[in-house]
Amino acid sequence: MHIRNIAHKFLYSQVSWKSSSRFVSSKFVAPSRPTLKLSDEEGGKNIDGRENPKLFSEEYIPPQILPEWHSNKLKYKLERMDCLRRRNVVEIPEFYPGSILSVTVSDEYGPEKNTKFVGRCLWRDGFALACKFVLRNVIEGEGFEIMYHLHSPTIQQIQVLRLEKWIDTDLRYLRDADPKHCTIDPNMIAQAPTPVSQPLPVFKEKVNLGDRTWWGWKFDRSWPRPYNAFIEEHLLEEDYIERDRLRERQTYMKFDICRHYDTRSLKKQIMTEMEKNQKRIKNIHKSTSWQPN
Amino acid sequence: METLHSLKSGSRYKDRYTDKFGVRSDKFVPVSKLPAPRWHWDYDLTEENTDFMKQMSQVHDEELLSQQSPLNDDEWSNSPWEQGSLRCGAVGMKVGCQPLWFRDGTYAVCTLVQLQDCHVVRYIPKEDYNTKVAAAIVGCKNTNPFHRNEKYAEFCHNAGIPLKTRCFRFHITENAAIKPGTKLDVTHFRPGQYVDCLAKTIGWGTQGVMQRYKVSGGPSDARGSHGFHRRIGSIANRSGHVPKNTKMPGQLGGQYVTVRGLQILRMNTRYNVLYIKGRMPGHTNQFIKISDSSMKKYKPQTEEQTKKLLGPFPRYRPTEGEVIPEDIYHESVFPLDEPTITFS
Repeated sequence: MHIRNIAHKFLYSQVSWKSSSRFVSSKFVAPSRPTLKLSDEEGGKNIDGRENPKLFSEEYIPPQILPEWHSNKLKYKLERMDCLRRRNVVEIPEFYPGSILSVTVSDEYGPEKNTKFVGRCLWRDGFALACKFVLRNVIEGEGFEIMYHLHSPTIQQIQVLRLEKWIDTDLRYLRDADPKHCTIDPNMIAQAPTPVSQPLPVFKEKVNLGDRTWWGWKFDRSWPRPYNAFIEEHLLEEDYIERDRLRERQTYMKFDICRHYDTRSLKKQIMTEMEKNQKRIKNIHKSTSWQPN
Repeated sequence: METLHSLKSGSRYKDRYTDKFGVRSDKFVPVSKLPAPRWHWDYDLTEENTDFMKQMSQVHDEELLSQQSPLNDDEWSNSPWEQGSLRCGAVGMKVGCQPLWFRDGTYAVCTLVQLQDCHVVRYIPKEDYNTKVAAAIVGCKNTNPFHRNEKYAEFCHNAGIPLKTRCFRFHITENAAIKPGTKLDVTHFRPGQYVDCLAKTIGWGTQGVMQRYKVSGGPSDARGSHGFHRRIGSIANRSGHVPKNTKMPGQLGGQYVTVRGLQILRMNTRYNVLYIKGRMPGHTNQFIKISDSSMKKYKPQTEEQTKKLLGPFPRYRPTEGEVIPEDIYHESVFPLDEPTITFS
């Protein structure tokens, strides 16, 4: 055969140009897709301030009740076990007041039988199953706040869109501040959080309060004093009497021993307890239909 | 007057003692009105001997409980249920409050009650107690026998059980005769059953009319009122006398109150804890008397209804080879193990 004929066969053989296996080398390896969920290998080990929420979370710490015999520790153990049961079903991520969340709740009157709400978390309070958090969003100039139970069974998904940690844990003064802090796009795209092996940077900027005749937040009842808002500078012109009353309250509150709750020893106990619970949960025999004869 | 008790425990009697009119007169208080001297039970024992005595009391309690065997329970025959028959209840301790979710997605609060060492202490038949109805005394939570008198120790040891802190009395029919010494567990009740709870309310002492009866009182100083803030106003109409049951300050709380018609939704057999829907009187670690409800709509009329509204009559007897689950839920309760609630 002529060489040109042989070459012709090679080039225009049965293999089509679409299945271009001959343009791909065997050494090519596709890169891994970046995901928001970081595994232990990528992120690293949990450091002290950012534990796995199944082992330790702020709501597992019991409230301070003095004297000690007014509280019962059995109840704390039973309730933490119920929290673990819910967390094994739905992933409840770590978040702090100031971070932006989106929550989908199952609702019989909504399209696709669920409703979604996006907002900034103003506060998070309560022990174990009674833990609640509030999301605020300003839609078309009108402010909306919705309160959810963290462990409620109607919540389908909790997603953290932006993980922020503010110095204050009670951000209700944002009702009186510039609405730009709380206006959040409902179609916001999630931002990747800092990995768990690094400490979270804390938000230390201050917010300006607006001119209002009616306050949405009782600034004279709050302790400790909020850091992330300009309060004194705002009150200079208007309420001198309230400012003096504020100062009187603050002088004795910082020396009140009952307001200082040391939870460092409790943290270790709770972590060991939850590790044991995770092993024990699978072996518990449960029934919804048992009746004594 | 200082006693060894006050010296040892560090407490001192008041130097100035008041009589029943609230008058303090150190010189003229008679000796009979002063507090009686009480010595601690181990005032004349060494430390080794007190430890030994405590150990022996524990050993004695364990021996008493081990002598109870299921064979002894068959001595008392169990008669069947009839309409109008009453069953014994149980005594527990209030542990706290916890939220609960149902399969609809609705939310409720329930109180946890723990039946800690609940034993029947005495059964009094109809003729001895009251010719109409029999009685049973049930006790809760073991105590130190050295802090009680000998008469109470006999009362408890006759039943073969250690001493109890608190006992309550139940009215029962002779159908439901129960042998003293039987242990009452959580299985004595049924999930979905309705129950009455009796307990002593939190004591607030003498309180005014606004706390006690929730009246609105008067306006503040800013609105110009002089000397009329937390008062009722008028106490009588034109009758000329103050009628009975007028609202005035006095004792608030510290009294026994029943709450009727509470439902048991969940049980835990490992810790003997009942999850009862609603709230009940008393602080945490308070003793609560739990009995089958006396409300007309929750009283069973037929035998079929006893299987929903009443627990096992007269008490629970385990069958051989039965494995009791640890967590028992009612049908309407949503256990948090299951996937999220979705509406279709």
